[in-house]
Parts: sequence; C-alpha cells; structure tokens
Amino acid sequence: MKFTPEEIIESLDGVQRAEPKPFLYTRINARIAKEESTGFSLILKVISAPAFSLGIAVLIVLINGYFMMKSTDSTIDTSDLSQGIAAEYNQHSLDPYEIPK
Amino acid sequence: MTEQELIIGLKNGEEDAFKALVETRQGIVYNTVLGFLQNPLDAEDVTQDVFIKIFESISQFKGEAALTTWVYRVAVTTALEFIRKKKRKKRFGFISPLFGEENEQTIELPDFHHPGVLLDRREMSAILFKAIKKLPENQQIAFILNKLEGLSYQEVAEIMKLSLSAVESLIHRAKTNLKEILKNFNNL
Repeated sequence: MKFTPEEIIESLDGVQRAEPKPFLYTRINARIAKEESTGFSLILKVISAPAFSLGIAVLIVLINGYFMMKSTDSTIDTSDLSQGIAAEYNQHSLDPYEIPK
Repeated sequence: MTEQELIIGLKNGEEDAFKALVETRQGIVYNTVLGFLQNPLDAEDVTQDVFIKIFESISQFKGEAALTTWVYRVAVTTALEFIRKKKRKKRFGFISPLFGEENEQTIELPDFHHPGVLLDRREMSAILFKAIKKLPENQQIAFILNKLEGLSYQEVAEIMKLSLSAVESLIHRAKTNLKEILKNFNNL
C-alpha cells in the first residue's frame, strides 16, 4: 500500500468547505412554488396532519355510537308479530309445547 | 440580521429571512450532506430538501439549541434518510420493473473527490471516503462533523444530543475502525 492508514485519516486535515452551485435560493424558491402549485401536495399535507386523523377517528366513533343508539331504540315488538302469525294460521298460541286441543 | 431576528422572520414566513438563512447556511448544509452522500448531484438535491424542510417546520424550532445546530441536525437526518431510501430502492430494485416504475440505471460511481481537499491529498481522501461509508451511522456522523466540517467535539455533542465523552468515544472508535478498514484497503 502506498499510504499508511494514519496518513489517509489525516488527509481531510485542512479541508476547505465545499459550496453548492450558485443561485441555490432561486432554485429552492422555484421548487417550493412548484410543490405548492400541485394540489396533490396540499391533499397530502392535509391528510398527514395529526388533527385530520384525530378528526376522522372521532367521526368514526360518533357514527358508530349513532348506529348503536338507533339499533337499541328500534327493537322489534315481537308480541305484535306473533299475534299476527297466530291469527293468520288460526292458532291461539305459538307455544310449541302446548298440546293442541 | 441577528439570529433572533432571523428566527422571528422565519417563523413569520418572511422571504428575506429565508433568503438570509439559505445564503448564510448553504455552505454548511451542502458540505455536510456531501460528506454523507459523496455525490455532488445528490448533495445539491438534498441541500434543497433540507432548506424546504426547515421552511416547512420552523414552527417546531423551540430555540433550545442554536439555529445552526438545528440546521445541522436537519441536514444530517435528511442525508441519512436519503441514503436509507436509496439502499431500500437498491434492495427492492428487482420488484420495481414489475410495477412499471422507471428503470434507474445503477452505474458504479467513480471515486469521490471532495472539492475542498488539497490536490496532493485527493487520492488518499478518496480512499478515506470509501472507508467512511463502512462505519456505523453514529460514528460516520461524529467523524464527518468533526473532520469535514471542522466542528469541535462540544459542537458535535450538541448536534447529536450526546455527552462530550460519548462523542470523544465515538470519534475514537471511528478512527480505530477506519484504521482496521484501511488495512484491508485493497478490498474496498
């Protein structure tokens, strides 16, 4: 090997800072403007916001709660139904264990 | 413009403040990013990403550290994210043609020559940069910030949110590992 490991490690001593190509600010500005003009980035920004996901979660819980409340309110009155069936088939009772007269 | 004025200006979304930030910190961002990526074209793109990230997330800057320290942190994380993304892409490269994604040519890049290295040391530094890539992430960060950016151990500790002794130990281990890697230099 031409160089020792120590020499190689020291090769960065006194290194000058590298600079980007000129007009970096202009290029960054152009990129920001381009990104802002696309509606997709705006949608992504909205979707990725924590407030959005929290809002969606609350909405799901509320919808779930609404349907649960609705289902308990509208329990079918089975007595009316059984009487209707009994009348239709000339039965006085729908009890399967009742001995027919 | 003082640092405080700059921070207030940035938080208010003032264009002048952002311009001042880019103009005063472009060198440190580009040089740091270049140290990790070792590719001037990628470094240019990632430098832009860093400033866009800063522009979008300046509200998160609480002023617990100096603005420059925070800029360094964003630069390091963005550069490492870029490397990870590139590695992932490489690993799953065989899948992308199935989904009709663009075929990126995987060209083996030539040795990286940092533009700030003295001419007579360029060959050695190219070998060093190859070896740096083989270091664990934390050692890479500490070594690049200290050697390439010329930051003190204390400054590196602030950027990495570590104790001074932890940074000393990281750089010591980085040098030991580099020596070991460089012994097998022919295999690099």
